[in-house]
Amino acid sequence: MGAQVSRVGDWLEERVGYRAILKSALEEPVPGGARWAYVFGSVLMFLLVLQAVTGVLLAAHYGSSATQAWASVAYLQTQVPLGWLIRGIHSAGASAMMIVVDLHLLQVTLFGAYRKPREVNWWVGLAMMACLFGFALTGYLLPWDQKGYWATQVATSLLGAMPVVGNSLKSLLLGGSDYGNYTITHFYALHILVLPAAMATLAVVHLALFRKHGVTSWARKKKESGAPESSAPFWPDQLVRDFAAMLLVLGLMLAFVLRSHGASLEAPADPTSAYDARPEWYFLPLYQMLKYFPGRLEIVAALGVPLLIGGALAALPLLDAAEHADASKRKRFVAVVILFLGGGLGLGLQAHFSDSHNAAFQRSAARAEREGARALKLAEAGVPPAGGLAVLDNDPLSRAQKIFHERCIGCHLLGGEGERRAPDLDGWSSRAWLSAFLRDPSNERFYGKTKIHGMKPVKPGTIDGADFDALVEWIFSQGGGDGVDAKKAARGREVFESSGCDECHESDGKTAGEGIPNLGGRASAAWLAGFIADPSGETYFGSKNDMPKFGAKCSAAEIDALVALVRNERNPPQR
Amino acid sequence: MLVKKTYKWLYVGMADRRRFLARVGEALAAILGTVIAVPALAFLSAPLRRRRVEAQTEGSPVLPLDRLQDGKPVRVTLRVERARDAWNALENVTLGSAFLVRDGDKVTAFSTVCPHAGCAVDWESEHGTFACPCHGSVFSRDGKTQSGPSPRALDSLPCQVREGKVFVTPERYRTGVSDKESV
Repeated sequence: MGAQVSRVGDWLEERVGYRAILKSALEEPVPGGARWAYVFGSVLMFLLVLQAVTGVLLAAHYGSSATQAWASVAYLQTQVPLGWLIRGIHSAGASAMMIVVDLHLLQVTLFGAYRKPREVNWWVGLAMMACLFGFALTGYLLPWDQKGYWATQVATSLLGAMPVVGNSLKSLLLGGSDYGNYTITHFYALHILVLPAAMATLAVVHLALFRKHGVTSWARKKKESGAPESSAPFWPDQLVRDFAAMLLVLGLMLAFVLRSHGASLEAPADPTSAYDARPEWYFLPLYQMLKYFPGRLEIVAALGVPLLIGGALAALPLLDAAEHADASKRKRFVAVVILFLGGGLGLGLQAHFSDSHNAAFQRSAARAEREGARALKLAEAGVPPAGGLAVLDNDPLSRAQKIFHERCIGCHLLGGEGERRAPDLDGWSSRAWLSAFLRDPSNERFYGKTKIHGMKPVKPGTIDGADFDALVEWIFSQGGGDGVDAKKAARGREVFESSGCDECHESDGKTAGEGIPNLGGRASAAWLAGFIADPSGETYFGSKNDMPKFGAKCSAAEIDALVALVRNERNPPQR
Repeated sequence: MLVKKTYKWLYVGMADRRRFLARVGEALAAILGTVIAVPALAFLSAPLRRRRVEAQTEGSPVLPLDRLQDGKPVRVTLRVERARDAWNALENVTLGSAFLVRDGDKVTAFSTVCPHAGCAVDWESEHGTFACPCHGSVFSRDGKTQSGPSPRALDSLPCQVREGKVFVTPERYRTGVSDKESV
């Protein structure tokens, strides 16, 4: 076997001469010996290959149109075996590259590897870094979910606001004046063809120039020892360290992906929704910085600051003409890079902390997560050809949540959102809600903040224990549905009459009650639909009513959706 | 100190140390390759376990029986009410076509997919045969191969007549082999 392999090897060697190439690649001396500090470039190359491999796998499962993109990614995420893992690695790989590229930049700066004669390679490296940001920006949109869509909207709006050429540039990028199919095909072509071609070319040049000049060893050591510099071969001395570092990074990425079950996918992009957009974490510093530049200055900062930083970094080897590569002799140049990295870190952390203390943002993030989970669940039954948004539009609960968000949260609390100006709807008319209500109807959870007052609380000591539970059960039974204890409810009806509740409340569902609700059929679908349409109806709150009539503002279908949403609370979901 | 001693004991010379390092490097590279290749292959092989259309046992009505005349094949479109195509849930999906051939009360449905290489066969009324335009296979009206490279007769599809209507179940068979195998 071994002999055969070597015969094939000989045959190939005669025609290709691969052994010499391999030998020179592997035995390249590393001046000053192998170092852990040199692993970052290799790790970046490894991550680049990993992104290419996972990228090809993802591309084979992607529908590059506005109607197909989200659906295909949702399918990949939930239905294709290991799809979530491949997508998770691709996303974590992008993050890992962003981190490792900073470490690489720092190492190169500290070792003075940007200095003569390596200036061109420093510039090639900076161009690769720019490509990396291009990949991140174009890739974020491709799933066509809420966060990618809105974050990219912000980025392209800034581009469009550029003087003179902004609008044309934006149209060229988007494939028109607005987001659509061409936006996806353009971003996709950039992400999988243009940028990879550019990155691959730059990587080859970067490696070739690196081989031409070799590593830059730590300057101070050379000076102190005075002895001629020792060296070690690239293989195995350096490459073992490189492999170990690659494995460490891959291990960390896998641990992260397994823990988070891959990258998140929010609900399909909805141009009509209100969305609190944030960029991916590596763009947070830029996002945070823009907060300090109001009005017209924002556009100057958005494009000017990255250009300024890029320019400063590019000028570094031209400005640094110090005799010695010793880092302590080049403090101000090292400071430029540390300022750039430290400033980025500081701004990023600031953005993070300001969001984590922003209750409104946290609520809207939680809502986005809920909607995303719901959309993914619905998409398991297949997405209509009309696109991802159709799964939510066809779902009564999702539609109702949207209407509720538009119409009701000004006064009612539900699912952690809204204001407390009217009764809480969390668990509305469930047994627990009714029990608490009967004991204290004027509590701010109930009618405390409305004009409706005057109901006598059922005080402890008047009706208690089994009688109280029976009364609650009878009121609950008026809403219908499964799980009503009929015997208990019948007993409750007796309590209702014997305790004098019926002196004020009618219960036949028909008789007008002078502002005191008729309890017949209370919380049933028909009762609630009538109530939402006109709460001042004579069997409802009549002249005491304090809530707008939604019959004139919402269609019957919208009211039905709200009814389903609110009645759902009678059997409260676990929160 | 102890570490250094052990180290010396393990690797007597530089050459031995390099040989050991090389083994470690090879092992690390093998782990890296495996960790990436295994999930990638598992992911890539998913289509081997997937069907485009969920099995439909009942055929779809395609034509009233009285529209068919003895000896005159009619081409019909085969549809299913619902189908899944990867992420899409589709309605009223066209899956292919078939020729219906009536012989008294008996109706046979032939798939239009040529068993040779999957081209679409057509009915040539002047010769009274089915012919494949791509490689010239010719089939008689009852589906038997008359000439050409086709390895088997035209594939008949499950077909029933109920209450005066013809029902056909769309099926696909492997092409290029002499046995009729469902795919």
